[in-house]
Amino acid sequence: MPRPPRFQDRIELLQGTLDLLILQTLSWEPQHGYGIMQMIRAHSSNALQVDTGSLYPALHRLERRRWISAEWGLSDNKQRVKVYRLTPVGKRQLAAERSNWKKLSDAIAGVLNPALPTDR
Amino acid sequence: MKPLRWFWRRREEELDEEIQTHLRMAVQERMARGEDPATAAREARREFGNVTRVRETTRAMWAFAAVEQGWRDLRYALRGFRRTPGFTVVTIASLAVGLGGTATAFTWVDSFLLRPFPGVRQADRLVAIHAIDSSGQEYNRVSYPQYLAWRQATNTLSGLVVFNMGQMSLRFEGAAERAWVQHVSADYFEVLGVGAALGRTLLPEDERQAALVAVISDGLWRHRFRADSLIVGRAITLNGQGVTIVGVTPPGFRGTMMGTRMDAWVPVTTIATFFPGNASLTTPGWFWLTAAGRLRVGATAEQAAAELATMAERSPGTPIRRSGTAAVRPISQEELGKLLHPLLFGLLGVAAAVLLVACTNAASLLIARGATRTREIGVRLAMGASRGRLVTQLLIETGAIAVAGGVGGLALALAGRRVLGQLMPPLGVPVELESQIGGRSVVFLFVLVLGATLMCGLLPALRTVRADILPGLREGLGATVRRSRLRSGLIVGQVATSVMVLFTAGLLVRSLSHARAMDPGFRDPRQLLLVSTDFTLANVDERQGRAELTTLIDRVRTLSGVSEATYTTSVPMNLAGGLGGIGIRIPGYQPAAGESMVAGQAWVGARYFSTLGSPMVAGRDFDGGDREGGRAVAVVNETFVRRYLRGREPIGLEIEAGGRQVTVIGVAKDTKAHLISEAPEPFLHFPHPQSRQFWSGVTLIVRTVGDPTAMIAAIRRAFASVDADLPPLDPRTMHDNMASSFFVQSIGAQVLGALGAVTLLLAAIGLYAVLGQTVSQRRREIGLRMALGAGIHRVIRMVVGDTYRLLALGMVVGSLMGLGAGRLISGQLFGVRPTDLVAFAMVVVTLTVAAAIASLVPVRRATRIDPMTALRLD
Repeated sequence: MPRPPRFQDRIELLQGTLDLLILQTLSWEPQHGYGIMQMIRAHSSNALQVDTGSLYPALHRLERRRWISAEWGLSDNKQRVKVYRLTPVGKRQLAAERSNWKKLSDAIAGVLNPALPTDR
Repeated sequence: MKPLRWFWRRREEELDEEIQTHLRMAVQERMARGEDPATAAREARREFGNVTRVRETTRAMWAFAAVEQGWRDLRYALRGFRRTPGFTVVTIASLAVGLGGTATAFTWVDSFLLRPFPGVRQADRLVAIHAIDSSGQEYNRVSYPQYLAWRQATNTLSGLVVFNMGQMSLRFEGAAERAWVQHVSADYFEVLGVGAALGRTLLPEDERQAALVAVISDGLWRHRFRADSLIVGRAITLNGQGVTIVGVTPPGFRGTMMGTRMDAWVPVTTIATFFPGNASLTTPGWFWLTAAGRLRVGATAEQAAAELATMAERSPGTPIRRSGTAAVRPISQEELGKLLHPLLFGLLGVAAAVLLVACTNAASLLIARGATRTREIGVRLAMGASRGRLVTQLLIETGAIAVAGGVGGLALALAGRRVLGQLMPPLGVPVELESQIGGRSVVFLFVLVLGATLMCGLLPALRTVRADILPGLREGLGATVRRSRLRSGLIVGQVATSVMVLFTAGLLVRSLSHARAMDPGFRDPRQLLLVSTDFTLANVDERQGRAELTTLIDRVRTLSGVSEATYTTSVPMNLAGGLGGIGIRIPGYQPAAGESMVAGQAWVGARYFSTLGSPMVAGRDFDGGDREGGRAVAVVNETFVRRYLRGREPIGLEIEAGGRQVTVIGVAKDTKAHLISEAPEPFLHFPHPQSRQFWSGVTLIVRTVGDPTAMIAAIRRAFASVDADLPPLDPRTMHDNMASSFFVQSIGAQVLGALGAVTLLLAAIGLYAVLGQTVSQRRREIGLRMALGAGIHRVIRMVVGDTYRLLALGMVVGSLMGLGAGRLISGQLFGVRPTDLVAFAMVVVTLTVAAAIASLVPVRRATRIDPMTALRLD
């Protein structure tokens, strides 16, 4: 039975990583969905392309958890846009996620570059 | 609901706007980079991905989104049902039948088996005590002396009570009527844990002193005493004795005999006062009481049985029938409970099987419907709907159908509350079986609905959604017609079961109509009124009883509107009642080895045969001259003459019956004593005044000129004028009484008829589902053939051909099963053979008509296929 192609098969970020990236992006300034996507792409030198099918569910999920809040505002060229901003709870969450990420990447780095015993 | 819907719509709109803004910004940025507008729009769109999917997955993040989604699916489903009312009604009907049957059976099990004794504390710790004699025969009664000894000695039981139920004559401000009274030991209520709602229950001194006190039931208090709150201390008359009411039981309490109505309780020791000459209290060998004990905490039924057995050995003065042992049984399986236990669990099993078939049918229908929706589903999948969402939606549709079916099922269960009581044979006890539909039944039904939803919905939903997108869009091009072997087997099974059940029901219906048309051996049973009574209830001795009976029958004979009147101890064609057999010796007849020389007996009044309208075959009827002290006479029946006399002249013959010499003075026609299906047996009639012992229970037979029921009031007055405590019991016509002799056929025909209707309905639904599926799946093929010039007959054959072959196979299998079942019930058949062709033809016609009706819609749909539409690929 052939399966239909799935859009999310393109790029898979680690589970939870997208949340971290969104929170980090919003810690600089409030931003709309399209802007968040562009900033993540720019700051990763085009390496990370966030899928809209992941971005918008993530935004709405973070909003429900009250880590970010949303309000309708006007963009630079006077378009009505939904702008997300980090809440105080979100700020604490970002700190926690960052330290988690640090631990995780250190651990992975440790596995990838083991400190081998020098004497035989 | 309005504000909520507005809220959700706004959120949807906002999400749409958010996505649109996103796209617009992407396009603007691309154009700023120098792309032309068309390319920019296309590329932005491609980069964004599937809008529907993004919208759907995002929406799933909202709180309550699931609930909201469910609500929308439900509305969508209801819209769909409105478009296909036939499918909807048929599926709901199928499930309602299955769910209703199972729910009804469960409410019965719940009411009568799981909570058999409402109001009784820890009823599961109560046990019935049986005596077992040395030969292993088990008796469910004990004697009073035995009970007293056991009550003293037991360590395993924290309480031991006895009870015995019988009818008594109750008089209170008016004529005597019947009451069902239990003689109980004084600790009965205490051991059961039942207090008094008014007044008190019985006390130990009531039993010791044989006090004339009574505790009445809530039902009697409400119906007979109009819930009089000052009832305690009032006097009533039971069997002619003044009795003081000391208490009323709580509303829920119904005694400890399952399904039996109880009006009052009196101390067991009063039996001799109420029934003069009754020595059962003091006779060690008189086993008449049901014993029930409460197991002490920590004690098991086995320990109790062992203890009672050793006690029986140690106390020779109170023997268990020739020294034996005791057995301890759950009290819920006494009397009616013993009958109901296997019956109800069997019923629940049958109902569950019906539910299973009903669910399979519903699943077939859903698969058929799914097949017609391949395009819709395909389009929605292509638009980006996830399979999980679609499966949920299809399940919600099935759920809606199952809930509707469940509501129908609940209605059936409500309607069936009293049915079980009506199905009970006349047992000589006041049967009162009304099931309660409690919380447990509702929860059970809910679980059933849920289970049914998953059972009939999941497979069709998965199957529908699994359909690949492209073939779906191309409208079933190249779709193969697969006929599952399981479904074929199911059709054959359903048709076969239906044929078998309908055939046996048909045999019983035909027996019943033969029974109704049969000559009962007497004239015009609708004009005969029967009124029973028992002189022991009036608390009179034998001499007085005989005198009262003579006065009563004389007074009834002179009533205007009465043409003739007599009485008997044993009403013919009456299921319950009658006397045992009487031993006979006939001069000149040598019994074969092992032949039992016992004949049926009835003790009757003067002009008995004339009142019945049964002409004498030979000799004369009883008359006023056949009285006590006169020549002992008897009237025999035709079978007696045929079997024992072999052509000898019966009139004037001297025979021995019950140790007396009697002269045969007449020969009467054969009548059935109890059951319509019984073989004729030798029968003897004697004049009632000549009996050695006074038969106190008699039934008056009154032939009336006009409407017999109009005479009941006058006959009641005649009773009261003879003895105020003599209750007229069960007035009914002979015609109604005869119905009890074919109650087996009647109940069998009703139950099997209902079951037959259900199986027929299910089989028809099954056929309808399979045919509908065939039409949907072969739509294009049919269109093609029509375009190539196939006639309408050809099309019909294409649709029904395979299925009708299954139908024929099912009918053949069912007929064979029916022949077997017919042989099994051949003992209950009357005037028909188990291979009755008329019943068989009835079944074949019924099934053919049902199959034709079931095919009507699918065939019409097939013949109306427009070849152009069916072939177009669009």
